[in-house]
Amino acid sequence: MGKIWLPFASYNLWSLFAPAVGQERWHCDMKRGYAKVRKRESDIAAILAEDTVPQAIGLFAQQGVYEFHADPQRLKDRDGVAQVSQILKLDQESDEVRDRLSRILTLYYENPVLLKKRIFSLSRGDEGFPEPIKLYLGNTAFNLFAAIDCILLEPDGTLHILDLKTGHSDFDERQAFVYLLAASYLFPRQRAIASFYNLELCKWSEPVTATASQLNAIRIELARLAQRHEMEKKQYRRNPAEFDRIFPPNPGFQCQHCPFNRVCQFAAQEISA
Amino acid sequence: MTAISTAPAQDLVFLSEVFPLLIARPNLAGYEVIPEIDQETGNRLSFHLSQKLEAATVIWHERRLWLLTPSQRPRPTLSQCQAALSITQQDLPDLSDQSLRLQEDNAAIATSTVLSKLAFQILRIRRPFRPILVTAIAGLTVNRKVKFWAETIELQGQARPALALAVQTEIAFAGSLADFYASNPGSPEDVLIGLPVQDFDLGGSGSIVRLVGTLREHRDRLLKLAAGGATRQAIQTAPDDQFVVAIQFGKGKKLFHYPLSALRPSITAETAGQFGFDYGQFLRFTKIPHTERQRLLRTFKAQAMDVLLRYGFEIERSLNSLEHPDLFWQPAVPLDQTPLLFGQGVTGVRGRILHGLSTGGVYNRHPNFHPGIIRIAALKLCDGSVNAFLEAVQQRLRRYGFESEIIDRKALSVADLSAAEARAALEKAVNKLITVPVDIVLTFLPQGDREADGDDGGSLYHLVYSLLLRRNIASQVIYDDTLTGVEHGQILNQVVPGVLAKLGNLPFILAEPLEIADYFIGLDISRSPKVRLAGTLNACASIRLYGKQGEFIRYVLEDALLEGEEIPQRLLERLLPATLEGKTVLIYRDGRFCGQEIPHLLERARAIQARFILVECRKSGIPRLYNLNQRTLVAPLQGLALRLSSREAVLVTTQVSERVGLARPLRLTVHEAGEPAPIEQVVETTLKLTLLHHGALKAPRLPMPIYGADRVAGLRLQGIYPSSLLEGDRQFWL
Repeated sequence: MGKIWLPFASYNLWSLFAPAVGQERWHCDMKRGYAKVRKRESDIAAILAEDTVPQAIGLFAQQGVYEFHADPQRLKDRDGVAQVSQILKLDQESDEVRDRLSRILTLYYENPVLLKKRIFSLSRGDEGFPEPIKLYLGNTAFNLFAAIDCILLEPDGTLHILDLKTGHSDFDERQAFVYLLAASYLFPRQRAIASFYNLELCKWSEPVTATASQLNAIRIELARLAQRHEMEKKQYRRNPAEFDRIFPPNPGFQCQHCPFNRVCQFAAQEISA
Repeated sequence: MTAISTAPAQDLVFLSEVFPLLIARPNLAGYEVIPEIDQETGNRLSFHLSQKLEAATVIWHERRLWLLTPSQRPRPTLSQCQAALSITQQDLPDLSDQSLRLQEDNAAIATSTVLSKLAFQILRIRRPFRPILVTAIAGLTVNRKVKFWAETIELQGQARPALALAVQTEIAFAGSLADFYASNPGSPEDVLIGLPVQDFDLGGSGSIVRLVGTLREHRDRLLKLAAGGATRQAIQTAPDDQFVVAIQFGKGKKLFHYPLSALRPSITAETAGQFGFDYGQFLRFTKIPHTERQRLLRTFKAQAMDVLLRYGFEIERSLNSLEHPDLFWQPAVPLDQTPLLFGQGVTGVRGRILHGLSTGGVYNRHPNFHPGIIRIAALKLCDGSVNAFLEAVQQRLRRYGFESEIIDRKALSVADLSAAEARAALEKAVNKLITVPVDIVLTFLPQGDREADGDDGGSLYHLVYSLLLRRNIASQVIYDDTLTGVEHGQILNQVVPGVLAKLGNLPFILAEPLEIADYFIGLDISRSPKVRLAGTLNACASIRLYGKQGEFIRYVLEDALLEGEEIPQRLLERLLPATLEGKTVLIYRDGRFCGQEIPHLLERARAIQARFILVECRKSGIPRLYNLNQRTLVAPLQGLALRLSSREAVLVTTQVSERVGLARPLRLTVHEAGEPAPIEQVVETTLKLTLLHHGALKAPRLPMPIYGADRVAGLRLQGIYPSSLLEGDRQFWL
């Protein structure tokens, strides 16, 4: 018997609905429209299939850390970084990806922050969708997807959810809260904290904790987003011509960095002075 | 209106600030200008001609110049007028190369509008009024002044010219802008640009847009242009090195050049801070007791009479219910007895809202809370504990049928911080607090913030409000002095219904449907100059839709680059959908309908086969109404209305105590291009729509479809909220 299909929510969906606090001016709902309801159109699908440089670097970095810990001897071997680079086939990547990954792997090799930790789970980053967690709001159910990079076990038994980062963006605490909500269902009897570690900056975030009230607030938010997303998908299917009403554009400087700018009729064109 | 014409009673008489005018044989001539000129040019010419032709006064109305001469004097001949026009053109560079010719138009009939405009122009040019000094403090004087404008009034089916006289308080800088500048050293651009100013001659208010140069370079040119005596004198006597500045008056596109000594700083509640004055210390002087108001009106009327009589005008007694009982109305059922509908079919009245909510709950619950709890966060910037209050909030919400949870609470001390540091700390605290999403943030502010600049400048209140609005989070601010000085239950009475409404619930609606229309719409447009493109505007139009029982349905905002104040056709099409097909819709415009709005609306009405009643709702330039009790002025009753014509009325929507001031009525005008509607019914409908403010226990001045509309679009223009909020079903502006 097949699974019953349910509305879903995830940190990614949340970030497409609302930017991180303070980034409101750069937020564009139309981006969500392209990514979520028009993703099967050939030109949109082509854009989505392109691994952008930052995405590729993030994925390789995660895989690199995984490979180091799959065989910790690599962290001791003098050519450990070369071994992992070979496993990841970095020689087939662009110069930019190769150079940055080489630096990331070297930095990690020199300071393997997970080496002395008790790793409960560590994902390679290319396993596909995680198993959904079924949550409820009232009688309404929805699926929560939370792809957790790494879970550590602290000496006092606390679960420490770790998200590995690359690049220079600020950490978005909302992601930590979504993981903590997921952990509260996956490991209901265990205390949990969450943090971020940036592999390029070698920087830990402050650990994030959540009260029961905060987790409840997050659950409500995700349930509402799941419902809203379903509604907007239906609206769009009913009337594709209403795309720009359902997903209002916010043209501006941010269009330069939007992957959909070449197909978006609202994208602000850069005007040379 | 299910209103009653009031029977005159011995102890209750209604009065207005509208004075009908009589003129038996006006010494009047009408001229066409060939080739045709636009209204702005006509207005300018008439103003300058009124100066040139000494005794005669000139206005421009419906493509004609009208010239009124005092009764006992010969009228200027056509050639004298033509000569005056030619001289005037030479003084106005943009008109000097046009060949304008006057043609006498003997067949033209002067309407009551022409006559009332002439009376207004006489007073404007001849300036018979003398301000009355109340007090002088720290370089500022507080004066009582008259404000006057032209009116027309329909009496026994006949339009009559009239004049409105109103008393107002002016706080004036004792010297000129040159004096102010001399005592405020600094770069002229920094000190002067953006300053709100008034010219000495007409008291017109504007702001300095740019520096033009010095008088040495511009004196001769300005002398040719100067029409007013005070301006002329300033140009003649000011030193060579005095700056000349360009002023923009109101929304006009044209800039006018003045030397600093022809201007003075314009001191208002909003601008006093820019000049370093504390407006608060003058506030008590701005309240005019009714008895003083009565005396001043008599004085100013007599001063107006002095000059108008020479032209043959007589000023009659102000419109009153003894002489014109048919012009004054009150609703048959007192406004506060209008039945309201809560949840579960429970009915109540405005004064018993809390009882209605306790027994029936809200009329309509937002889907977010169906099921769902209200997520609350609290931010405390004042001393003392707020835990008991938060507990009381939750209990009260429960009483009205809503569960809630305090998700997070933060305390922040700003006592030792500068204003800028406090704002930065507050922003950081708010951002941290709302990382975990909540539905509403209760902010407890120190009472000192009440006096802070209320606009985008300094108040923590405004900062919190805008930060939360960006995140689509409702905001409720409570001040420290309220929290400590007012019983919690009383605060909650005021706050909780508004909180529920801000979250998208409808606490109550009208129990009985309004008969005049099926839907009600509020239209508004806000504009702000584009920073990088001089002369262009960012504009944002807002439309709100309400149902037959005043139930809020949704709002839509539209950004567009607009010239003027038109509401774009695209927006009308978006909000006036097929659901309105075949329906009657009453559309309130905040202010006047502009440009092509009416044709657009009518075109839309035809397309969806709907009937649109078009009503302009204006908030300024409106004569006040009074009750007269034993020959003494007292505050008017809420709901009192004065019928100016079959399409226009003045309506008192608020009850104001004398300590606070005097109710400022609204002017409602049913536009002739739309569906006809009895003005009485429009008045009654408007009154009832003021009852539906869910954010306060006191009804507001404006009907809900346009209440706070300027704020909504204005915030969007400031970039305060995202495009995802351009459409919605929550009254976040409450």
